Amino acid sequence: MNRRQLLQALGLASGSLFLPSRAHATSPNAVPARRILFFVGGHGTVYDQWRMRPGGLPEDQDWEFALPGLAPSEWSQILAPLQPYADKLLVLDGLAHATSIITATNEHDEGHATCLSGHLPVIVDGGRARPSGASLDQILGSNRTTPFRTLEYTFRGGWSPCFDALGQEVPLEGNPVAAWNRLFPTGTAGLDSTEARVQRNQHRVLDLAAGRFDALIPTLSGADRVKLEAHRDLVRDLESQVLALQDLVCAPIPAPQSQWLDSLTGMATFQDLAVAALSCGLTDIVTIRAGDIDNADIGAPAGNLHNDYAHNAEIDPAAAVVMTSFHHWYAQRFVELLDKLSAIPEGGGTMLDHTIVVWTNELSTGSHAHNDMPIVIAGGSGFFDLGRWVRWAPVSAIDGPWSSPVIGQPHNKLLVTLAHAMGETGINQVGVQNVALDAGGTLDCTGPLDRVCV
Amino acid sequence: MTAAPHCGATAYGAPMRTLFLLALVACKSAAVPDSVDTDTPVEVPPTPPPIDPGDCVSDAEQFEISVSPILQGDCISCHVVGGIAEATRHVLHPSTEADHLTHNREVLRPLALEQLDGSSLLVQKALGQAGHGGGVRVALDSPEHDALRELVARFVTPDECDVEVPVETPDVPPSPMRRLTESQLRNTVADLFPGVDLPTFEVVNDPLVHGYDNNASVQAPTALLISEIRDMSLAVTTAAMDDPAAWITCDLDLPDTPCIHDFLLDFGDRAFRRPLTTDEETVFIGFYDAMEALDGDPRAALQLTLQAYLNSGPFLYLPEYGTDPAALPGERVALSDYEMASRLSYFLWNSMPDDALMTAAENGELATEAGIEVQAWRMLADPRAEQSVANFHRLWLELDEIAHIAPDPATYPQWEAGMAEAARDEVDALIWASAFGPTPTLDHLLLDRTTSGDPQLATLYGTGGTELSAAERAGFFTRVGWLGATSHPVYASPIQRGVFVLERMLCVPPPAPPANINTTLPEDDPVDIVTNRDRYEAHSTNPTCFGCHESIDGIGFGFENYDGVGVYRTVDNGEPVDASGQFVTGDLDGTAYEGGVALSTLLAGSESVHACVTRQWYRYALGRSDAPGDEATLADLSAAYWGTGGELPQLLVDIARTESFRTRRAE
Repeated sequence: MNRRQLLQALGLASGSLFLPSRAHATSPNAVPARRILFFVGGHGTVYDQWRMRPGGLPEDQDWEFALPGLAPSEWSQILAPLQPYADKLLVLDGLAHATSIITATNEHDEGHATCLSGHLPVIVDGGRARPSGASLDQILGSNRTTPFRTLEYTFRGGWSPCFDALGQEVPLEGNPVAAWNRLFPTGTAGLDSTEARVQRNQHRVLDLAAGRFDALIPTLSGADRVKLEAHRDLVRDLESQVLALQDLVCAPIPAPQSQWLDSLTGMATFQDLAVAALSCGLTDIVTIRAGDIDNADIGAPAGNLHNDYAHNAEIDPAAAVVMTSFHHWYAQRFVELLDKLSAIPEGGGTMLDHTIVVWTNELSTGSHAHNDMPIVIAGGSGFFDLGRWVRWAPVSAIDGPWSSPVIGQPHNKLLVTLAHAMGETGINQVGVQNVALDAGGTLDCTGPLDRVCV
Repeated sequence: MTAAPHCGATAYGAPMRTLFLLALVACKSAAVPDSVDTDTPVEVPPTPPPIDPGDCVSDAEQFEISVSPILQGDCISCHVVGGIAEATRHVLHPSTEADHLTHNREVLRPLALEQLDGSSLLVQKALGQAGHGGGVRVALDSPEHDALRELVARFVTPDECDVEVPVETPDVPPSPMRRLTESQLRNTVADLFPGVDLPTFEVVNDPLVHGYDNNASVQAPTALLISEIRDMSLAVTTAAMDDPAAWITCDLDLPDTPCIHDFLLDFGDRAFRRPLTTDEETVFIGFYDAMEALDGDPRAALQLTLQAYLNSGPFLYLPEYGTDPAALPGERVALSDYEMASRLSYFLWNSMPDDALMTAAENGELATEAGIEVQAWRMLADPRAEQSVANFHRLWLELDEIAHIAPDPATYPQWEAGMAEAARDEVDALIWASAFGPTPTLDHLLLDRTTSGDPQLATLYGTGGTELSAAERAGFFTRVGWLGATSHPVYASPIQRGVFVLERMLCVPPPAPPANINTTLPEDDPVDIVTNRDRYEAHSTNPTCFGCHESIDGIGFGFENYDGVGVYRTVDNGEPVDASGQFVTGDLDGTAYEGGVALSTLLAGSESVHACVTRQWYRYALGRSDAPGDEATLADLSAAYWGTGGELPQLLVDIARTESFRTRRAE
């Protein structure tokens, strides 16, 4: 009997799924996943409609329960669509953006900056906040040799959660037609035309351009020089990518008919692009920033989703209904993403087994809280002990300027765990090292989470 | 300047009598507090003595007389326990607390002593610089400004009777290297390939700073950007090769290689906006020859070489070196003539220099203010100036938001498809006239009532013809475009409207609201809450909110006569509209008014607004945020702008003549 079966058996046998927490460090058997896909939402969640407490599990203790075997009625309204993947999921409940809680900026202006970076958000005068270092996707991408180190897509906007090593924003591709063209450039093999000759020699254009940057760089200093060095390196990356795409034969997915797509088609298109890129080895790391949808998509009355509904979801029952529908809609889209990954056989299982899918958010609530982040991991079955809901009770009061929320674990530990899950076991810190506690002292933010790995 | 002499920090509130006496000895002419018997010193005075500065003011006295009133009158509304700035390091004690003077002085000490760009951070914050959430609280060179500077000097040199308050010499602002923006790339390739029908292309928009997309400090190179630039170069040169006769006279079939070489060298000079170096000539001609030899296709070789130019650093960036290689880091150095030509052209045209400007540069004519002025006036008379003026206003006034106006059809059945485009066209015409018409002034932008006569807009304005009602409309802020863009689908938003005016017209952006605040608008209540204003007023009664909402609402409510699509209303939900408001900032502080026309008239007549508009143009012109070292220049510019009655062309020429525009900081 493996651990998961044990949990299930205990849960069902006892009439309660409550289990005491156990340390659960990475075992030598853990196999890193090959790829990772960040699915980053907005407006947090409606926590009461997201959380699951089978058997009335207490809020003030660490516990976990098995997801398979839960009756459909026991799934929360928002997460109910995920039930078919119960044995492929790991729900993390009780993590917090401690980094957002301890800074004094408006909390809406910092979730995007810290959710994948783990850094403190830094205010930009007249602009929007950014972190002081890279987000995890970019850290992982810097060590990859795939044609695209990373890909970043946005469906219907939203601020980028991706940042380079200097904490500068990495932009998101929001045009599905352009994104498709980037993945599947027109082949020129065997063609004898001026157009084909121009296409075939694009790498030579980039080689010359990179060389001109080499000539320019020594004439500059300071930040200007750093900027041009980064530019030169990216031109070299593009040169390699152009050559690699000439040799790599990927079966293209159907091209999007327009860059203006309805919500369902648009979301599906970006998912298809992501899955195609991952399955063909064009990249191992994708971020999809999920933006706002039309009120009609979720049957919501007229009004601004952000100002009229998200902000009020905790205090206005009608707004909570709208936002629950919103997050439920995205749960459905998340399941469709898992469907696509599960449909591709790979290594005795499916592509999902070798891909970590992380559904996280820039906030935890529509009113900009950062504790009890709604985090769902799917896939990566060689590394994660899946099929479980893991709760960390709030134990650490953070020294916040507005209040001192009590949190379970800082999300930096999740970011370290994900680095390990992608084979980067040398990474023991992503973002800050610690944050101040209300009672004095600090909360360690380094190292991986326990209780999550096989 | 020299501060009033003072006796040191121990004149009162000192823990020990002996210190007090020493202070008196050190400053014999100081008035002796009545409550102290100097013959028989037996006890510490229980309360601070009455203040008589005499000719010697102590550190504590200076704080109480000059600084504390600023804090208690203004800063305290946010910087207090429970206030919006509670989260900062600077939480003050109100004057009702016994220790407020000593406590508050110590709170300010670290901030006062912290330097940024060569100037005290405390002073900068009070002036609304260095990211002060509360915006401008103290006017430049006002008595309050002097008081804060003296406080800084007294922290640096405590317990002195005479403190020299150093004349602040803030650092020369940095000149980070700029990259061409998306609109600059579009305009520049159009100028490089005149007559060619170029495709539209997308290049990543850099993050906005103060609303502008050309701020060099956040222009990061990213993989998507570099990929899109390559795509742009391919698409543009492909379109150009479809119609070579429009831009090249060489025979491409022969091929006429010497002619193509000459063309490529000339093209390189224009693309790099300076003569190519010998090395560059060799590299690019060599590349053409190699590509031609590779495939025997001169058209392909030509296109690839053109692409190579468009992907190179000197085309994409505006590197500047200045004219003095021996300059030390931090010193100002004059720009070279060609660097000056690019600054002028991207400021006034949002595109590359033309032949005349390059010739002026070659002849050294841009090394003098007079030469720059001649070129600036010439350029403003060229149609290309329209694209820069339009681009500035697009960013400054967030005109792209007009296309996103999406009112709730049930609430606004009169809103029709096509109205957003008509509304944009209307404000574009207003802006054009405010820059290039017979009265190219800020007054025109803020007060003019000429409309396009568009029949759809006429249904919203309730009037036909090209002249809007004098009682209802005056300039940009009373037009459908802006009023619709600052509304939610159902309700007009006084908050968005007020914040917009504070940020863009007064340069006093309010801080973001605190976290976890209850932002729910009250439900319609037939008794107490009837109008839109009622709802928002109830919303702002929370004392935490009031500090900021006093300034936001004092402007936002002035637009209550306009609903969510800009239709004029005197009745809201059956009740008369209350569109009264009051300014609490700048030279309009305390001025009450009623309605959007009066509000716009006040803005047009405000020197603070003219100063802010100057600041906005300055940021756009230099592609960076303003720094303390810019304040003196900005003061001169805005005084001149105000003096001309807000004439825009003169302001633009004046900006081009400033030392900031003609120099860079050596690194």
